Amino acid sequence: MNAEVERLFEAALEIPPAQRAQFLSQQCADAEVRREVELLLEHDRGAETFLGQAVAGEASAVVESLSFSRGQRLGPYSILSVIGRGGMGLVYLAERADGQFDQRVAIKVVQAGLGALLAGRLQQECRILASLEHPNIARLIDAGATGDGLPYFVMEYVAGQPIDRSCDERKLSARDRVRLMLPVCEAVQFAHQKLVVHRDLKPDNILVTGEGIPKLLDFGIAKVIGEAPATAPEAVTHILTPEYGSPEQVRGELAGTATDTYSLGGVLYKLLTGAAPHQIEGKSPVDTLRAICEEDIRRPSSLRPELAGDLDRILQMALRKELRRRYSSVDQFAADLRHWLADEPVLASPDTIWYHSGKFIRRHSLGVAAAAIVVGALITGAAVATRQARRAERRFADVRHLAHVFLFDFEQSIHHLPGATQARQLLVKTALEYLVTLSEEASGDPALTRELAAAYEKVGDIQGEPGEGNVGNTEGAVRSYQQAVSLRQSLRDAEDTDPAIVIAMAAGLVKLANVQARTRALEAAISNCRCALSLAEKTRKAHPGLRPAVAVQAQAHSVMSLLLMKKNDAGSSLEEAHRSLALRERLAAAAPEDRSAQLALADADRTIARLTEQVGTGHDGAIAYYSKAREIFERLSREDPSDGQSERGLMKALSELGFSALGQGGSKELALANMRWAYTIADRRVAADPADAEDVTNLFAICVRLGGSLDGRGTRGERYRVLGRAVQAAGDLVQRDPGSEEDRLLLGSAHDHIASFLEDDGSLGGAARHRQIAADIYRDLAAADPSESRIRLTQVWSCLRFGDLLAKQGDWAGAHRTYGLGREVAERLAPGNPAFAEPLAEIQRADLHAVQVLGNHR
Amino acid sequence: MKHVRYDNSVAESVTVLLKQLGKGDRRVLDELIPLVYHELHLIAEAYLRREAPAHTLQPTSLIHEAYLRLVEQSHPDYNSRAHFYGVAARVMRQILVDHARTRHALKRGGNEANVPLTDTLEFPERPISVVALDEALDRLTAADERKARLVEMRFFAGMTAEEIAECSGIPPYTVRRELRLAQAWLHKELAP
Repeated sequence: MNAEVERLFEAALEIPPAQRAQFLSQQCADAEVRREVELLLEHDRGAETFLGQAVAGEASAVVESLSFSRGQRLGPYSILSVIGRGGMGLVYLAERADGQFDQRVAIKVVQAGLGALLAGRLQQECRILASLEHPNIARLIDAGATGDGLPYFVMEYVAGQPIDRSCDERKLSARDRVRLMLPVCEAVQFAHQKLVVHRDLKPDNILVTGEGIPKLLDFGIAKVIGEAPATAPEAVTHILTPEYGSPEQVRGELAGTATDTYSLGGVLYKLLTGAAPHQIEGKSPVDTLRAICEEDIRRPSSLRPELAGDLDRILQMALRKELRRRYSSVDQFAADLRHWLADEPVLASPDTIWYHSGKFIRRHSLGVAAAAIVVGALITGAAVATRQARRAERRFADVRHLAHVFLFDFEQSIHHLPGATQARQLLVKTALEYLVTLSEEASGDPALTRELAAAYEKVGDIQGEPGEGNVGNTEGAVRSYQQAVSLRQSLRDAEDTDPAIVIAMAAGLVKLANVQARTRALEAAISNCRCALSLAEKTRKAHPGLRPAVAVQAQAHSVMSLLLMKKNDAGSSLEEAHRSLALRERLAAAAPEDRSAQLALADADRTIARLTEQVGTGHDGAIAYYSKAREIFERLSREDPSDGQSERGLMKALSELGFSALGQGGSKELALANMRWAYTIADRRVAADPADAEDVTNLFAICVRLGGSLDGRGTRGERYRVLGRAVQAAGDLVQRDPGSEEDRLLLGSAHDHIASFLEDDGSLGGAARHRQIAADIYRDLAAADPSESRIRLTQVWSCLRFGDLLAKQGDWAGAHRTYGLGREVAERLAPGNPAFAEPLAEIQRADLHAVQVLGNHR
Repeated sequence: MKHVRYDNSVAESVTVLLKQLGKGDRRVLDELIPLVYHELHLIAEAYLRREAPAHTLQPTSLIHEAYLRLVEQSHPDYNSRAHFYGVAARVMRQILVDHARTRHALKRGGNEANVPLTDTLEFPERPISVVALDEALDRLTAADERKARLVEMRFFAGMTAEEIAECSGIPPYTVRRELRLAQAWLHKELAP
């Protein structure tokens, strides 16, 4: 295209239309060029719409041509007319072609590409759906596929109106509308008991007949079709109705019964207020995602004042973004509605702690959890029976046996599988109940006490042992471990000679210390760890060569190393790590087939590598250790691909290896390839099991490393995406475990990383915003724990960068203030702590410069 | 794993071809397009149906879905993505143009077997046909290929300026600027 024409066109657009003619006559020598530009300007207006309509018009024609015509046969049915357009495709009215049954049906033909369809699976699911016989559910009669391979579903034809329109037309009061929801809830509950989740509840899917009976449509069809591929913002368009979709759905995560609860809440919200919980009309996928996952829903009473009070709270509880805080079942939701109708107190209140009855456990519908449900029900039943059968020792033994199976064998089998976390959560809840019951029987019985201790420890493992696929509940874990320790202590008082007890005690103390490290109880952790070390050493003296004793000691050294690092004593930390490594090398060499010994060795290599980097003896040493770790993890993972631990280890090792190699100035492409590989694994793990906090933490770390290392022009998009993921991951962690300092610190540093990226990209305003968010987080953390040096160190570095940014923007006064804050902290903490020396020097220099500039301007 | 592979062998071929395209081998497009065509066609139906006739397309998600299905996920090559989107836009264009041509042929005396039901669905008035647009786009390609590609991505893949920028490496401001000119040019060519 003519460059001159282009230039003039662009320039002319900047000028108000009235003056363009003049501008052009000034600028254009050539009459032809001028004519061209004028024509283009004339056609500038409406061009986009014009073109867009052409394309869209054809697109809709494609749609029309794909629909079925009257009289066309679909299996044994004959098409009569189009009823309308549903979320998944067109809906037709049809009847039996052979006149065998005088029945009108609705046939929904599903457009292809809405998710992969596996024929066998369709059959099985349809059998389940067809068995959903309930007066308020439109029955699924049949299913099949068209000649083109498009699946279709034949359903009971329901002549009715969507529930919201029906209520409006019949002018129902708020109470009547709530009443109308009750049979709807019952129907959903009925389906949940058959392990069918609807997933697409919305007013259009709940029709009310002329007699005022509500009927649910499209039950479980979303499930039959299969899960759509899902990643970040794009996922929103994959779920069928974003407006009533829950946060976990729009994020593309697994949908369960709680998802239906959310949607039902949304429907009731609409019925009572006239508006959907989120207004997403016309919003882009990214904005929709953000709205549903982050924006608060407007209080119902703000739209309709007469709803104030319990109804407000009921709706809010059903519509909670965290699914664990919603009603635990649709039944519970319905029960609260009934309470409200009867003017009785409701369950919903701002901070409800929900009690898990046996009923609740039976209603979960996750595949892996199904077995846990059955066993759990047995346990709960058995626990009740215990009280009744005090004298029946055999019964008691059964209970203990069951508990053993439940807690250990079963858990063992699902422990390392991805996706098991929710099932394990279930185990924790049920187990704690059981253990409380059992404690009443336990005192004076050493065997039982031993079992109890082990059980509490197991629960603690599930609750919070880092690196074990936990569910983010640090405080619970501390309590459980402490219970275990005190129980074991009572055993030791009775029986000091059994090494097994001593070793178990030491192991328990180490676990306790490990978890305490993540809260602020550092001194307690260290003392527990020392205790464990002395117990282990004593046992080894008395019983040389005893493997478990060696293993426990190695573990204790390893945790001690971690604790010393938190105290910024890098030298001692490294010493402890080497002690641990030496012991683990011995254990691994002595028994090469022992996978857990190999894993422990790989972990030790990684730890040494990390510490070596931090202590600053150079990257070379670190890379050698990372490589060793990676080799081991890779081999173990290859030998057993379902082993989550080795996969996780591989992922971490790859990320660290890549990052370290970069620091050493090695092949950048190779380093990035390693880190990207790690990212792929991490991403996959989190997608498979979004509830696992440890995986989210790892994803975060990898994202930050990868994001920070991508600095080429061609990788801008990738970098932004990856860092965005980091912020998302960190935010997720904070939400789950607000007590964890560690996670808040991560969130802060995630914002700092995004800020750096935005700065590099030239968006100073955006960068400043993120720096500010980070600064606020650090400030809050520091206020809660003024002497924690890691928080302070991060804060100082952040002040330096923020100050630099402000200076770049020309805000020297702001820069001086910010430098001043960091400087004050650094000056205070530097004397005892060499880590502050470097940032202190830099910030002093920077502040000096800022002051000079300010002075010059005066 | 949430990503379901539609057809493994197709997926492998597409990946290999995209890599070659990434190395600069343009002949590969001839092979690539038919492979992607079928997949996109199926997905297109799904997404197009979702929109009421008067609204503009949201095909970006459909191309993303196709990308997820067809391209190897284990070692993502980020350059491939940009190429894929470029190809997909081209394919979308072809789908719509092919369809329009067939329809026009039918109208001119083809069979009336498949008369669509229009009880509840209305046809909007279409000012120009996609066929004319396609021809105009060919002319634009001859005059300024880059602008034609931008138009393709914007209108046939429904990508925003930012998404186009990310995929093409052209800064968003430039994308918008060039699109504006290209749109005006096409409008001028096609206006009665």
